[in-house]
Amino acid sequence: MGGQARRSGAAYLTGAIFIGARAEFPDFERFVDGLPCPDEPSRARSRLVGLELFDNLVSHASPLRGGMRVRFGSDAEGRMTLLFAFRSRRFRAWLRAPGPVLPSWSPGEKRWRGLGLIMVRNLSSRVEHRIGPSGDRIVVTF
Amino acid sequence: MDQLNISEKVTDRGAILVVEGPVNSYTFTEFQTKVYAWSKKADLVLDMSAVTSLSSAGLGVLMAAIDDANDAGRKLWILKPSEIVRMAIESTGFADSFAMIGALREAF
Repeated sequence: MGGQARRSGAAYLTGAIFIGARAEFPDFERFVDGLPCPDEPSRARSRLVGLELFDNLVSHASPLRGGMRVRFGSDAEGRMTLLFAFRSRRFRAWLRAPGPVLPSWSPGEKRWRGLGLIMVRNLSSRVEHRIGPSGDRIVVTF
Repeated sequence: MDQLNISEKVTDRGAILVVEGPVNSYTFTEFQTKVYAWSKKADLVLDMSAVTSLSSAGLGVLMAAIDDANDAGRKLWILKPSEIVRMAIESTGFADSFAMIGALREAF
């Protein structure tokens, strides 16, 4: 937790490590509630996006090798950033599977699919998925 | 707040569910069960003024419940959505589908 590091122009102010289990929702919620956001709308955006990504990674990436590192900070232009770093073969397989581009009702599953992706896109200015030798990184810039 | 609490009030005009806490895939089973059950059999007001977060799973339940209510000739209102609920709804681009009200008298 804590500390400050620079990578790709981003200064990370705080962070935490999670196993990637559904039971960690309350812990993750406390983590996002404690982020040093500049104002309440920013806090609400980072809370919605953070919880949505955490939810998706728990559902589609776990089990994770070495856990999930989450960092919060700002980029070179001062914009808030939220980074998720993890290693998961399952997540890459899930990404390759066909899925809805736009939100749509899935009669078989009796639920809406694709809402989370559009939420994250519309609540942030940029979402990047980077794949490297040390694993996957999802970087959200607000 | 880690827990989701849902309390029910039944009136002669419809049902009111007061939802408090986070609605996410960890907590939404009770939310889904109660919202689906009531949206089919009564006009329903969801007081979401104390909801602390709303994930796509929770939004999906709301959207499906609105469809169910319409199919059953019922109505569903969202009462005093918290700022984070309003932000989540608007982020989907489907905000026009949600009947958001500021007072119970606007529903029944």
